[in-house]
Amino acid sequence: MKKRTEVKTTISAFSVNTKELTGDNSAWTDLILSKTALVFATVVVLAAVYSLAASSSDIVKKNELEVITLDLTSNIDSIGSIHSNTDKPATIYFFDTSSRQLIDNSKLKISVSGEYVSSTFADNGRNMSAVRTLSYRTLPFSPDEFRNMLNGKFAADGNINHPVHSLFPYTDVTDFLAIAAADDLSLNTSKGVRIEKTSVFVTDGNEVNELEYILVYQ
Amino acid sequence: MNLNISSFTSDEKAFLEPNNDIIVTALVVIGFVVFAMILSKTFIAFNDNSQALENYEHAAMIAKDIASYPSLQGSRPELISAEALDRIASPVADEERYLLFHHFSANMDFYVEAGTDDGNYKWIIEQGTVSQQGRDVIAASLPVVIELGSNARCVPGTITVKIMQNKWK
Repeated sequence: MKKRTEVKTTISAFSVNTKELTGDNSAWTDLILSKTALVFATVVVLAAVYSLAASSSDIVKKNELEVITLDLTSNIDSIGSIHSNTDKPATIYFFDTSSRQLIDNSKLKISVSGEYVSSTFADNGRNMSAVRTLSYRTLPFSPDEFRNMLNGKFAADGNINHPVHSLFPYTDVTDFLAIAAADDLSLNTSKGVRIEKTSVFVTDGNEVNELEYILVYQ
Repeated sequence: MNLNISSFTSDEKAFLEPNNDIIVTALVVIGFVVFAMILSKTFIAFNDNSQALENYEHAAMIAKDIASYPSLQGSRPELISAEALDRIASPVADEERYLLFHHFSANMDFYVEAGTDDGNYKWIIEQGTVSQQGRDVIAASLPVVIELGSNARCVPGTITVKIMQNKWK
């Protein structure tokens, strides 16, 4: 009550119709103040709800990006895990666009290198990215490129008939391929990605050993 | 009772009315904060669990790969030869171990433990020394059948792959 009297006094100092205000016992000043506070509080709560909803759509986009990256990585890894004595395992991977809700193909960039698969999605000037490391030794080259590279460096293409001459632990071959595979290969998401297992045969003059790699190319 | 209610409803001093809004607003804000906290906690738990599952699946895939590695096979493809395990785990079999680990990516740090379930035989296959100090260990085990010696005595065993990962800081 004391507070109300103070408010009334302050208002009466500035207002011409002081009698009307001071004589008013319906507590409208309190009412207006509390309603204004309520409107402010509502705006704050609504803004918080809106930002939560906006951040949840970011989470959904991020999850979709993670799923896209993981799907390609697990396809590459599953080719690496197949052991076959007869045929070299190979597959063509197509990006699944039907199950996506928020990620648009045109704004999606996917690249693969010898170490990881990375995806970047440009969303209103902000970039989201997801990275997954590969479990198997992978090279972002086509079989022809790969054999030509070996031929150019070691004068042997690493086939069973032309093994590369190298001594254990074959660091000259493995380091050369690891350095060459460090560059990213950007993938076209509307085309299939070819994934196949291949081998580099190495010999020390006595016995021939096989080093396994996975090739990823388009 | 009737008297009390009528004295309450006929009270025109408006002592409680403006404060009602504040109480209700405070309740809404507290409710929203609790809701946001529960939501973020659920999301963090989901994220942690899905990452743990992904790591486990990764380790399980490697264990499966090693269990089907041609050099370790016994007289039949589904058996693992104890002789081959002896050979590959011995310090002199550097080259064979190198070829086993080579087809996995160079940034994977892991070792393999194989053993019979009765605890009589145990093999550790590792390349170099794998440091576990202050790192997360992700492990997956796979039941296998190990063929002991040339008399084709088969015993149940497990292959365990332990992957070392640097902790998130």
